[in-house]
Amino acid sequence: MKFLRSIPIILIIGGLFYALWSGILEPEKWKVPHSAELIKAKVSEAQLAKEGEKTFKMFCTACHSVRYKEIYPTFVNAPNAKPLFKLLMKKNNGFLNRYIYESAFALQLKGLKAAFGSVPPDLSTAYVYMGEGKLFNFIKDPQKVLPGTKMPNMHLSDRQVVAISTFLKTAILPTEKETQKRHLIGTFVIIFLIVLAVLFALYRKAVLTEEGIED
Amino acid sequence: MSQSVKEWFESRTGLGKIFQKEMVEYRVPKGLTLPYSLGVLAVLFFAIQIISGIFVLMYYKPDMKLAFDSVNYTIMQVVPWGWFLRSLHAVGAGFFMAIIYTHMFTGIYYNAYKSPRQLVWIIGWIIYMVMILLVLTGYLLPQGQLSYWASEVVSEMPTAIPLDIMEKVSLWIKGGFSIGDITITRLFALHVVFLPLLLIALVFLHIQFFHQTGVTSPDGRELHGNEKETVPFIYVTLKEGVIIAVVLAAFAYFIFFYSAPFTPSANFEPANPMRTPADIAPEWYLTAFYEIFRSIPNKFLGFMATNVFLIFLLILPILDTSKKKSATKRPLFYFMYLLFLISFAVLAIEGTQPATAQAAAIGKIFFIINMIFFISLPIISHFEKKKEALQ
Repeated sequence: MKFLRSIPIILIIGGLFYALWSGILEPEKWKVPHSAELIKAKVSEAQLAKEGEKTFKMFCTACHSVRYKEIYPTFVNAPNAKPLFKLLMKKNNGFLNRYIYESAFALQLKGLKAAFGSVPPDLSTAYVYMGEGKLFNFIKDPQKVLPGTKMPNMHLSDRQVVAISTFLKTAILPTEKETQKRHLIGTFVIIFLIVLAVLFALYRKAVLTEEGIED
Repeated sequence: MSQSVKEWFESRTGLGKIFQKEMVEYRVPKGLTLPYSLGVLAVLFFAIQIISGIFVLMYYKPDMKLAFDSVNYTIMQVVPWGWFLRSLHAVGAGFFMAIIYTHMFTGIYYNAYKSPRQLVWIIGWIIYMVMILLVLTGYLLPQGQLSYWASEVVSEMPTAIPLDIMEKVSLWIKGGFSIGDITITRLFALHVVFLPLLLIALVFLHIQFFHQTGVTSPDGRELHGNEKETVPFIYVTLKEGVIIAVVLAAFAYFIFFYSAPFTPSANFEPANPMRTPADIAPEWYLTAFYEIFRSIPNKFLGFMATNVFLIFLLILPILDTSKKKSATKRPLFYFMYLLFLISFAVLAIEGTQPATAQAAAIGKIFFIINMIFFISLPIISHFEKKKEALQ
């Protein structure tokens, strides 16, 4: 009877947390097509990421940077900018923070802004904030996802888009190998804690019986 | 040797006596239910937040242009185990808030705000306010799109009061006409120094006050000082040990396998002052207030409505004057309490949805249901007193 009374409360509070955290309130609008899923299933992530880096450098670096992967727009290799870029990279261990990057190449970035209305964003974290589905559809056909955007349609194949998306994933999320490592550590930690809980419970029971205390 | 060292310290500090009195011999009622371990869990997660916070602080840079990369690049990718520290801090904050809310709601369930524990309740309420400020200031620091616009909204809050001076207050909080370096360093100082120190002091008072008055018992009887029906605290510690290990296992699951819900993906977009995101909703622990605020068309009235909810929480000891304690002994109270929980849950869930006319209608209805709980308390108390007088 005492237990029955707490059931509705557990259901309400548990249901609240479940609804808020499970993501059922925000269903994914954009999906990766089946053909692209097949490519991902066939080719390893490391291979796709490698391909993606090449494709990205070929089609995207005219405007975009991926600073977390030390990739900068092609203007840094122009004869007037290259010596400065090389020096800055050397002095900053390969990573230019926004103060350095945005001041050293202010003129070039201003040129891009004049051409596109706003500076094309750095794509280091794009995979996470756009989500895989939206990112795929956006690269495939920008106008469909963001009508009116200045981003041109590059007419890439599914394989190229999947490769770019996988490459961008490695820029912000851990690689498959690293994820496996984390999962392994996590499994050990959870097993350890559960064993600890059981031992604690047994010890408590022993102490209570020994002292003759009922609870 | 060790004995004499112990005595040397004890005679000079007296700390051992306090520990013995408060942590070992302090007596609590038998048969404490699970919600009674929430307090200890909250203290545990506060400790986790402080420790992980210190490590995250070592690499974080409070600067408009550097903050985002210092979190998402330096901490997450360059620092060894940095991802672990950040997950610990982010998931820990979520757990901390979830525990605080459940602690508060079970406190209402067991009528823990009644005489002689009014001060425990009031200090707890202040802790809740400080916690909200802590999560808000912490939320700004990564300088993602969500952080930026959340802080913009929060710092505009004072202007909801239609007074000329409030515009100035808003400017004063921001330190300029828009969120900038000054705002970040300001909130950073609050988040890492002032608010945690304040919280430590408040938690200390909270614990001291309830040790003075004793814990409520699940069935509402006052057992403080009753030797027969209480057990020394040390036996509860063992029980807490089991619960802490289980909760930490769940915590570990989120850290190692599934930390995404605690680091919203929209916040991985660097702050862009030029573009307002289409749908902004606060984190889940504030969505109920957000829903109340936006469902009322008038900004000032909406602001006041959220405050009314908080003030009703604070004055619970005045509203509920019945001598009876614990919802297990009060069927009427139990029914109203369920309504209160349901309305709060609906408000919290609806607050995450896009702002539509339907959402506003739901917000109004459930806000009223929520208020009915507080307003009904004096009436329930009146009936219960009458019934008691008849017996």
